[in-house]
Amino acid sequence: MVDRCYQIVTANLQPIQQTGKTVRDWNRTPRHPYSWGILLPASPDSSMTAAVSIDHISKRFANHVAVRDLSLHIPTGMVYGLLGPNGAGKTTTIRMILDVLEPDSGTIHIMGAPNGRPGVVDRVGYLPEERGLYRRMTVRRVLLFLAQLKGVAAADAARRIDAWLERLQLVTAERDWGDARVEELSRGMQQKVQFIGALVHDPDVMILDEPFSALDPINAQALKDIIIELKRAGKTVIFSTHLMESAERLCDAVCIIAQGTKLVDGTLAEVRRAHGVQQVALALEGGTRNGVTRILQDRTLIARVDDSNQVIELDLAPSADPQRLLRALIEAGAVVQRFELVQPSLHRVFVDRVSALSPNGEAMEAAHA
Amino acid sequence: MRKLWIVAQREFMERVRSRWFVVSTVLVPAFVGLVIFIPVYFTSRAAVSPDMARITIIDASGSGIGGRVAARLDSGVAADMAPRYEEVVPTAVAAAESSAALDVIAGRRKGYLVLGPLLWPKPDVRYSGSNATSTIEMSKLQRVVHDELIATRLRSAGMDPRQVEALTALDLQMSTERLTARGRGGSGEIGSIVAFIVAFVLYITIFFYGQIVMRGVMEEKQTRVAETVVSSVRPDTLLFGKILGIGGVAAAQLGISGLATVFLIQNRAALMARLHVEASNYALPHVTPGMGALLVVYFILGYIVYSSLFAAIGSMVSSEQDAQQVQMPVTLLLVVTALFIQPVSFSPESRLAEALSYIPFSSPIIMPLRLSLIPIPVWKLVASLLSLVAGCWLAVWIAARIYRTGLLMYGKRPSPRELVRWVRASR
Repeated sequence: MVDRCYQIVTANLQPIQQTGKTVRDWNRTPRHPYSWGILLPASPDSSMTAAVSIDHISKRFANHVAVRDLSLHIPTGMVYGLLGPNGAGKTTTIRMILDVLEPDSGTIHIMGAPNGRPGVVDRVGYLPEERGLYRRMTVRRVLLFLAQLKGVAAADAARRIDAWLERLQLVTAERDWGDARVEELSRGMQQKVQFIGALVHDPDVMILDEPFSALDPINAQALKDIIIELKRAGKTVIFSTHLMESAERLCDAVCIIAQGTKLVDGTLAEVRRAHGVQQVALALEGGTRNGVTRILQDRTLIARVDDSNQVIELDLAPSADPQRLLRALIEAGAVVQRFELVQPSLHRVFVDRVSALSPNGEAMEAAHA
Repeated sequence: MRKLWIVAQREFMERVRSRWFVVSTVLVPAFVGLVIFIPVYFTSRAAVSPDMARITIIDASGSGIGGRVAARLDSGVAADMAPRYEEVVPTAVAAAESSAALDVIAGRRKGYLVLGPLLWPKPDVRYSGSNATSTIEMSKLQRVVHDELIATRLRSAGMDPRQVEALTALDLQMSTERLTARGRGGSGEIGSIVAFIVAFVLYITIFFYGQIVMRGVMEEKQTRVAETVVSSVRPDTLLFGKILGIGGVAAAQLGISGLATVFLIQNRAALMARLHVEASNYALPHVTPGMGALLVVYFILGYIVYSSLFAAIGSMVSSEQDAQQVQMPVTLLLVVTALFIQPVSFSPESRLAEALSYIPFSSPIIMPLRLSLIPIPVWKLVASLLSLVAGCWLAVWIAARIYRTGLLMYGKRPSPRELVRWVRASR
């Protein structure tokens, strides 16, 4: 483990060399005269291990720039959330990863290979936001077609399709829905068929565009189980969403983009930490009375108050000490039931980041939509 | 290439499996069959009834012609079906007529034929009967009387009617050949009616299958299958696969319909004999292999030009109403070409006809029409084909560029200026 996941960096933290040798080897024979030999653990964005690595891609359409200079490195084996308000460029980015669109500039690699190379996108499974199937074809034929397009041989595909149909209960004792036409299926069943279509070729990378929109709760649960299972099997799952709750529950790492630009990325913990704001969840017996209100209005101590009646959420001022706040509250005679230092929720990070970008609050609305 | 094949295969198999394919493939030969058989069948139904000869013949001519007519009408099957022959003097005609009329009214006789006393120069021949409105029976009766009158006249002029008949029996088939300043005859001339049919069939099929391609693209876009499929296959491949697959359907359908039609026409007599109806075979136009190959090439190229344009239209619209409007220009190109079929078939060497043979939108229909009417120099044929191939390439290129952008674009249909941008934009 030690050897391959280390980078050699210089004083300005630019990687100068990435070798397969061990740290000890390198220390014995430094190859760069100016290197200080500072060894840092490789961050998750190391392109060595990336399932998908995007470098400085831009895409301009007639009236607007959809993506500008976006770089992402999505490590293998992670559940990765691509978060952003509507119109942030998520779908455009996904289409560029899938080589449906060509970036105006920049490069995209999947499992280390340029995505334009024949057969490379065949390693990717894709569940689009706008879902649909050939309505008049039978389920098995649709799935066979999708599998063959991804390069699976017909006999192999038929076996996998049967296994999946059974697993998602489309083949039961009463009825084999595999031989029914797609148009005879309920919405929920069609969604299941669509999952199978995205998975049947056993992709290394799975891309789900707004997977939970318009899913009924049972199918949402089934999809979540599949995502977790894929991750356990070492696959990479990338999904785009504007629903922070599902992202927070599922993702190992996220990237927030808005207006085609990356705002922040990293593991969930990193993103929260990088947000910088210290939050306190406060509950007082009898609510905010007399002196307490004055303390909460002290801008040297508290930057923002969000009073939700039962719990008051406070953002501490940049250099404020939470202990000082607690002391002040007690001195003011407040009966403190709960005083908890909390990490900002992903929702909070998202709203702050995105609304900082567009002061008119459009992004806020989009985030709540 | 493998993906192109998979797309084309799906397109072909799903359509060939459908009920629509079976119905529309059977429809053409069924229609041809009706056209061939129905008239003959109804004519045979309206044939001479067996008791047509059960008439009274009142002969006042004194020449014995009535007896010969009776003998010709008598089928000899049954005595009560034979004509009754009465030779009368001219003054007794009225009395004989009234008693014969009573027989007809009572149903004992079918009718009566009166041969007047004067047979020269203008014979006085009348018939009254319940079957007087049956054209076929009356014409048979008239023919028998006519033949016997001629025979009588020939005999009175000292000639033998049999000999005359043998001498005048002549089946003349004049062979014709076109001769112009360019030379004599020519390969592959089929005849104007068949040429007209060929041009019209080309027009119908190119339009029909072009529309099917457009509907197919619209279906993929509207059901959003395209979103899933283009993650595995490039839009260009999807487009070409679709055109190829539906082209295969067209080939299968035209092949089956065409062979069945040829079979029906060639075996008309044998098939009609099964229905106990006498009929002859229609003569099929003689088509040389070279001519046939040219027809196929023009159909394929014309189909590619129009189906790729229709596919581009299908990809840029999101609703049926939009499709109706946007396809207008392309439809007009075809319809205007079809309007030229008649003028060109009347004067296939006119300057207009020549010009239309070099325009890729009209040449797939106009050129086969001219080829089947007049000999065309090889270099003109090559020029027409080259311009068509170039037009084909251009149409496919433009269509592919519109298609890949339009397929994933929803909502308002693009303005002409946006279309130009789509064509010029990168993927």
